[in-house]
Amino acid sequence: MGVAELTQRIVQDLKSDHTLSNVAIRGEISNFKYSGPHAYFSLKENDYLLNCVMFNAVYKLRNKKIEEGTLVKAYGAIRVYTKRGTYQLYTEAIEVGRDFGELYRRFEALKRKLMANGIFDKPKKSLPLFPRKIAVVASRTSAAFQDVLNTVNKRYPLAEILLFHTGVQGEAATSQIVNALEQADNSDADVVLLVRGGGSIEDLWNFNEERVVMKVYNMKKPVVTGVGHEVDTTLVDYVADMRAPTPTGAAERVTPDLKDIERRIEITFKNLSTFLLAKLSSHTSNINHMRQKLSARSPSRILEMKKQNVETFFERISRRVDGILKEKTKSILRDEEALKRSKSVREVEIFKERVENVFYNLKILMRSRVEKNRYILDKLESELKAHDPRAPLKKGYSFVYKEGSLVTSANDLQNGDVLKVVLADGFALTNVKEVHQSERYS
Amino acid sequence: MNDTPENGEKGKIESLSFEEAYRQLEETLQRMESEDVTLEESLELFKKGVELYKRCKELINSASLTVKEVLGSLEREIESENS
Repeated sequence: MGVAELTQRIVQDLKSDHTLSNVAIRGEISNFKYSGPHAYFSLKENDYLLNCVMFNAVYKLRNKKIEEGTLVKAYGAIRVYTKRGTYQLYTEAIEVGRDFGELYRRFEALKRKLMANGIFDKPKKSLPLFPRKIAVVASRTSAAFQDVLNTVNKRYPLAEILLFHTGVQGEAATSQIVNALEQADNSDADVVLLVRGGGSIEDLWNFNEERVVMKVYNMKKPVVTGVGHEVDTTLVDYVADMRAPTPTGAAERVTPDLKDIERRIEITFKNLSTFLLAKLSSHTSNINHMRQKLSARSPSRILEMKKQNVETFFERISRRVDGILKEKTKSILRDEEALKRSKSVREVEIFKERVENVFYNLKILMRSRVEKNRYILDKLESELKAHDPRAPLKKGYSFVYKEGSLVTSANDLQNGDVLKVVLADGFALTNVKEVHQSERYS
Repeated sequence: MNDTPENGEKGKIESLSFEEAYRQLEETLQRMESEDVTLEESLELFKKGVELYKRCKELINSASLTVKEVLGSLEREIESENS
């Protein structure tokens, strides 16, 4: 980066620093001189030096010359003088007190005394994280009190503010402050704020009074101080349980930021849900796991397995039986073949053939015999037919029977005999009327 | 009806201060995170967490700064620019 960029960056940094933008610096005046309406000088403290400029100082200081070595308090902002590359205090006001040096010496003397008595070594009480009631010891009309209200309202409006009004300047204020602190300590607040806006060492002197310091020292409740500006240190700051640079700072230190807490609440609630879900899903997966284990052991599963076993077994047996059957069939076929080829079978067949031949020959022989006999029989039959007594009947001859006997002679007949005349197709019964003997047949 | 444990618990939560409700919500989460919590307990814890969460949110949303001036033993509410 270039010089300009660097310088601008420092300028911006200083501008955004709220502390350095509104400071009160204590120091001794050195090299005070007017140039036109403006004044230029330095503030010194031991070996340290701060360059200062005061525009229109002629009017602001009413042209008063400020002596070398005067102890002053200068108010203003620290800014960069870009042309020189230096920083300086752009002074708005200079405070010169007559008793200034005297007060400062009293301050240092009391500080040494209290330190020597171990008052500042008091252990610090812890502050409540979530204050319910905040006691504020301040002037009710002060900007300091308003700053506290604004800050608490912005950060933690859940809290309740208890105001313990007191004057904060002048001799009478010391007793008021002690009294207000006493009341605040006896109230039901969780924490006490002691606040006052900025001012000169004189203005803030009440907070350097031994009575006030010892009251804060003896408080039962935790005390947070916010007195003056950042640079102002009062003796109560040393005995407070927490020292804040300003009233606003004091309010910030006793209150949590509700926005942060709200975020934490959201995160906590989300984590709660996440844990519950995780727990649920782990239980679900446990249950699933157990269900799987259980179903692996269920009777139906066992039955299913047995069934499968049986089926497998059955298949194996079937295959086995099949195999055996095929094997047997094959072997039977082999046996048959072998049998066919065996010698004994051939012998049987030869024998069979022979037997068949014998039968055949026998049949032929029988047939020729039958033929021969039938011929003889036919011949006999025709011979027999030729000699059939009934053959002449067809030629008109008849047989005559008397009392069942064939009549072959007229001599056997007498008149009145009943004769049976048998014809070829029937017979007739006749009576003999006359008997005649023929010569020729006699 | 209000003497069942659940209603009693709920009634108690509804009257808790913000600090107490917030602390109990954090405790509920811590309890939930511990190993030895049963499922039933974690459901109860979650229910309680919901109530505490609701209580916290309710207090946050309804919060408005109260300012009182204490004068001796007296208190009086004062107007401020913020209230």
